[in-house]
Amino acid sequence: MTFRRLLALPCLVLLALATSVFGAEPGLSASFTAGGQTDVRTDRMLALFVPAGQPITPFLKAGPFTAKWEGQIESSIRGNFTFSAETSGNFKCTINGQVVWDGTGPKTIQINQGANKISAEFTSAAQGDSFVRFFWQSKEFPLEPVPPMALAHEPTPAEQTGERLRAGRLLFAQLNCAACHADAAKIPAKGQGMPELGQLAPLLSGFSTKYNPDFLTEWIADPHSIRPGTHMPKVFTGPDAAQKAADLAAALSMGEAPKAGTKPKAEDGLAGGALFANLGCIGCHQRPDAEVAGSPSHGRIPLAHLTDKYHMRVEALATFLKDPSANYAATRMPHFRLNDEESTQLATYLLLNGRMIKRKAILGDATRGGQLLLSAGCLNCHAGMPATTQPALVIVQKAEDKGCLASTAATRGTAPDYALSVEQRAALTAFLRTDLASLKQDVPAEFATRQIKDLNCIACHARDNAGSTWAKVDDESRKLRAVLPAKEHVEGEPVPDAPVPALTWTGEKLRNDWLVKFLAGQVEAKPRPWLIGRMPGFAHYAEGLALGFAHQHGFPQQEPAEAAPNEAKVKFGETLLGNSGGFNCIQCHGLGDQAATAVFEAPAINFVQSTERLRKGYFARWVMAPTRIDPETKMPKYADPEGMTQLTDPLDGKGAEQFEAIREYLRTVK
Amino acid sequence: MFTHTRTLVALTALALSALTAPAADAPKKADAPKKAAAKPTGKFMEMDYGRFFSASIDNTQGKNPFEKKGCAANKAILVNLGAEDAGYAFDTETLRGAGLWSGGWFKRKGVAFDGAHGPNPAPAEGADLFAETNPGPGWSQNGSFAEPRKLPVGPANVMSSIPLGPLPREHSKYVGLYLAGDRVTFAYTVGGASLLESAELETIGGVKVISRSFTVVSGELNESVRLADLPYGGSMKANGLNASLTLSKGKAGDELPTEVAVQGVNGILTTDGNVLVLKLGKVAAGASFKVSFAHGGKDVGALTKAAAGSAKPADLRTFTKGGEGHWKQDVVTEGVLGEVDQAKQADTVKEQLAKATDANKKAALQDKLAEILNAPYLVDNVTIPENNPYKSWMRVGALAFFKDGRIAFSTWSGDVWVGKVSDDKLSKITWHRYATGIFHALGLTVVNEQLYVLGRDQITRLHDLNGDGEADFYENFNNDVQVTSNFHEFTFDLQTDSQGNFYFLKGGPVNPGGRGWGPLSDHHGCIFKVSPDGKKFEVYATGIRAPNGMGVGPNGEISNGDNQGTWVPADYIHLSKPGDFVEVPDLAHKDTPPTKYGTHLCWIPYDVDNSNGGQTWVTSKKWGPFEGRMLYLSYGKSSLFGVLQERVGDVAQGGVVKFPLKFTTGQMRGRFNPIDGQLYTSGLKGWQTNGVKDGAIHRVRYTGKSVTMQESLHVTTKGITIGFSGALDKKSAGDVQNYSIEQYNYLYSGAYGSADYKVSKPGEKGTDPVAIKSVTVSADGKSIFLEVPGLKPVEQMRIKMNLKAVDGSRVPDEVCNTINVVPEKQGEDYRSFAK
Repeated sequence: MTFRRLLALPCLVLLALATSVFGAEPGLSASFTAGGQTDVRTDRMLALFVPAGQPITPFLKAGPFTAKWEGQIESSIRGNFTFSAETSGNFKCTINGQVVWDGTGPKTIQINQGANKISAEFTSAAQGDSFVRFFWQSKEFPLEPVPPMALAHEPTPAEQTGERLRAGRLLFAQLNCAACHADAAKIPAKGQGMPELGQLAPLLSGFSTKYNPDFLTEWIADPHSIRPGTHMPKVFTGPDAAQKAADLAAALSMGEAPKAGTKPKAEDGLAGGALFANLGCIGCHQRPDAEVAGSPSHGRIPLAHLTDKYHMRVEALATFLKDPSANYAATRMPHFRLNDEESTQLATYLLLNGRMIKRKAILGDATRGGQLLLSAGCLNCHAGMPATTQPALVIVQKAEDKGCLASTAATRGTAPDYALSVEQRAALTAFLRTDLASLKQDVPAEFATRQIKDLNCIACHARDNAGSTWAKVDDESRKLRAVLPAKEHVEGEPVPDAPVPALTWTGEKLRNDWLVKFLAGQVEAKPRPWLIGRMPGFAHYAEGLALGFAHQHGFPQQEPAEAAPNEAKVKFGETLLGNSGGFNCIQCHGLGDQAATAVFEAPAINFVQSTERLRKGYFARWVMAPTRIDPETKMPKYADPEGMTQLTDPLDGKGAEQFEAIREYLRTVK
Repeated sequence: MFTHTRTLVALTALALSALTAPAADAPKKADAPKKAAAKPTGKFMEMDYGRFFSASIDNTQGKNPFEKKGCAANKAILVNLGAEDAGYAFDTETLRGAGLWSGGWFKRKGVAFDGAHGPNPAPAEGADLFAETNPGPGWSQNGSFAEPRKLPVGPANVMSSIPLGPLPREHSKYVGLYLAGDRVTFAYTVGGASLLESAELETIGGVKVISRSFTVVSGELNESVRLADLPYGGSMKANGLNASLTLSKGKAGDELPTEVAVQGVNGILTTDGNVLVLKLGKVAAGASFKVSFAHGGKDVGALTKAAAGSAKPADLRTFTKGGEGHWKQDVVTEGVLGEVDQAKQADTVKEQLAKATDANKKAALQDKLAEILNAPYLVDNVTIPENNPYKSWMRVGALAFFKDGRIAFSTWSGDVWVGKVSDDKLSKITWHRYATGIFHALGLTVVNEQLYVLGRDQITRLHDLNGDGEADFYENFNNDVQVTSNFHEFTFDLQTDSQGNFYFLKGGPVNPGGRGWGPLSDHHGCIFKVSPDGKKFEVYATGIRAPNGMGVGPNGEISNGDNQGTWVPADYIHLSKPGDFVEVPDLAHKDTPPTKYGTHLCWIPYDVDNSNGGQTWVTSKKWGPFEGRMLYLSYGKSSLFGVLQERVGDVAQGGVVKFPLKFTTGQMRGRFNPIDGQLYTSGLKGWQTNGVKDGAIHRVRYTGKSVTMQESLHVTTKGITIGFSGALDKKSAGDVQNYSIEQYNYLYSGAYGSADYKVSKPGEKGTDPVAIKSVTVSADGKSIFLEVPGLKPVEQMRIKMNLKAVDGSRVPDEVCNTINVVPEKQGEDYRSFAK
């Protein structure tokens, strides 16, 4: 058909986008080979950072490696895109069979609407760290890392196997299998290898002043009925299981009698409900009255049992909320830096709205319980005592459908019941078939993948294509706030409906030293004063998470050292920041002690925090096209698609140079 | 019930803060940086504001008129006495002498000065008050000072607690202000009498004396004038035509004396101990009299002597004929043509081309170069007198043209300037400062060769009585609009229809925090219509938030834009009919508040325009193919958009497409120059925008090259048809992969703006892709049809396209539109001149 005839006809072309990505998963299939072994996993981006001498995945030996990514890169429209990369080692990438990077410089190709086949290969650097960062740009947007949202793939069987092994490895660590099934040769010493390995379960202390013994009995007898997904197994089986649970509960409940608490106040409950919504508790947890309210679970952890568990002891729950890690260092529950009033209000809300169970109590024998505490292996997990139970790990590795891994009560025998799902059992079994050497090493990027999921970062933050649970349950939050009389918004005060930053670019964005502190809850000044919530502390996980975030984006822990700020640029930067001859950034942003000049709603992030928070490259990219990164930001875009700003002076209107000058100036401000 | 977001009285808020404040907690160190308490500096301090300045003012204690105390006034004119030695505040709504003071003129405080959200200008910092009156009528009616105005209509807890707007005309009426040299003279009526009033500063025996002089021009004056109140304590006593006051600032023992003397009139000073009034006998036309206030120090004897020593009352009619100009120095500028930037851009691309090795990259750069060189429109800079000897702050609020092509512009700081352009190349522009002291001059028009400027207080008609190029009579054309002291209730734009009616807009009193409203007037958030003679003022439509600009089409189409915020999920363009409700229920002024917004022509995504400007209809045949089309300006994104409109029965719908042009400042107003037929735009940088210049005027000049831009948009049940003003390259246009559509809805709520919500899953944040089944290009290459079965009404659609024009010019790559109705048959392609 000639070109002319083609034009005369309506071009009936089916939308490629919808069809091509059918069944596709986010990210790329990533296959790594080292030491003659291959390991496949899913990568959300085409990026990696492997420090010299470290393995590329936990399942491969450290040393030279190759990587191969495959999948699709998507565009909503046909157009020209220019691709480039920053890399050590040897990197090559093709899209639809066309080379877009071979180390000779950026290449421009037309890519189709919808899916385009992408394939990339990398060979680790001969010396030093190995890294890749892969970028694109078009006339619509400036240079940026190819975003996770543009990548998709159909998982290969090898990748599914790799992911299953990873799930099994994590379960092995989290269920603390090695606490009972010891093997000094295979399990690394405490504090080494996989970080989740050997984490202590909550300390069994002070129960008498906190918990309702009858609840404890029920909890020990069948934890999964109260809290699906808990790592705590059902330990006792047989006709006397209930009595054993009661005995154990009695033993654990010995000690100081609870203090006479104050009666929960209804108004504290209302304020606590608003806090439950405003602090984002609602993203991870169902409301205590969820069953009554009938709100959808969204996979959130139920809390209705707290009233029964704490027996209406507001002080006890408030104490826990103020420092959830006090008796459980590895807890997923973060530290919110609650003050006394807040913790009381939250505890009151939770206890007033949960369910109190009236039951016929089983009388427990504390002496018998004390013996069980040792013999049942409780202290293996809860106190790190040497394994008292059997069999040894080598046996377990061959156990298949027996003991803890059994699929039925009959084959389980007296082994604890972890209520494993079919997938979990399959994953654990598959992992146990390996040599378990992967327990002795870990990779920060994978640690972050695991913990972002386990700590449920998505409860509050959007990431890649996933929206946050907090946003999804906004109507629940509104209802909790609505019981309090509406409050006039005062300039500078937080607002309930401002979006929380997405985590899509965190690894590229935040400097490691700052991010560690921030994740640990140690940054005093709230960067975004307009947010009603506050970033809670995950101190136990902060370092590993921060490093993993960076590695996932191909960035090292530390930004390269910078020379002292350039004086000429500093001068330009000061002008460019101001009202006269500048972008008037100071209208919205405070500069240290100098307040923003004309704040609306709330001041933007104080500039003092910009340089201490942001990596250099991200700062440049952000200022160049803020809405490309955050469509909801109030930050204006000053540069056109060519990178030119309206300020022709100084620096010839070149946005990149002007923004760099601003950064240079900001580096001088403390 | 009246729907509103500000439901709480302060007390409840206080009580609650204990409950809710901790949520805001988290360590506070850098959260609340302190402001340096240095003396203010900046352009607002350097500017020479002239002899008077109009503003809502706070009293000397920083209290606004809602407190009903002292010289605070919603519409004050602050007269500069001496060389900014002293001041007189005159309230043009109540014809009240609000305050007299020494110690400087006025405090440059507030949103148009230092950008502060909340406070207003006031008597100079540390001003020494001679006398002040509380808000209320300045003159009696039939001997009574009773308040004749009613409170605004609506629930007491959200409406203003004080009466607003001018007094009824039969009571008294502000006529205008004469400027003669340094002398400012107010003209107004009291009952049937026409009066002139002027304040002056004398120094007598070392004592400062400020007087209010009056001349009755016509009619007979037989009323009383209020001279002083004691809002913060003190004492007063009167004796014939003399009175003694002591004024307190509220602290025991801080009283200072003022001595008052009246001369030239038959009357008596009376007081009940709290209010000082001059009760006049019948004063005939032609008579002049004077009330003098002496103040300074505690020597009452010296003050009495000084007050009595004031010069005899002058006949103020001598000050109504104009006087010597103030702004004798013209400012000459040179324009900068768009070709300069065009050449620079082309050079940059050529450099890149020279370096490029990649064939695809080269081809893309060649396309880019062709686009630059074939640009059908270029943006010229009509250089404004930024560097002027008066340090006037050039934030351009509006512009207008005289018939001979002279440009007039107004500024946010209250100026009006007129410029004469030497030639098409803008090689010499001669600017003259024409008027000053307007209250936020954000609207301007020329009717019958006379300038009308919109301030927040009134439409002022400017007269140059002696032909020296400077206004010397600032006539109150209409001041019926109600004003409160809220920092954010700007009035915007000034347009006329073919019958000569005037239109302008007023926003809602946005709280300093950005959410909710301050006390409401009857006029917050409305479009107004004023009759050609200025006598009739009416509310045309209601429910708009912060509408920085409107449009009046050739056939009387009334449009407005709005700025995202409370109840405004995103910017929009609305076409309204009389009595329409537009968007914000809190500002509906209806007995039953609406539960849904009016049907808008279109919504505009936040990243495309976050803060609107005005709309301009193309009335020129010399400006390319768009005659009769609407243009839309963006303040926040400093951009110009074409508006695509279709009419399906009574329903208008359409979208916007961005002109690929760059402007240096937030775009607010556009007008076509009657001489060169080109579009001139103006704007400023005063609140959030990506504009970088404080103010600018641009000329968007048609170069005569062919234009290929989207100009029409139609939806039917079968799909979307987009018309272009030029022919497309059929290869790119016929490729369905070169198009993509996404759509989403907004959440209509009292929150500040809205996220995007899926059409497919209402309530879930996000957008939906829309599948395009096929594309058909018309034979002439000037229209494309996108086959999209199952189109449904949607608030925001974004149609992206990656197209080439046959002539190499740039085809904008996105249409952002709204679908209100999906007809079977295509609606009418709307141009105002179509009928």
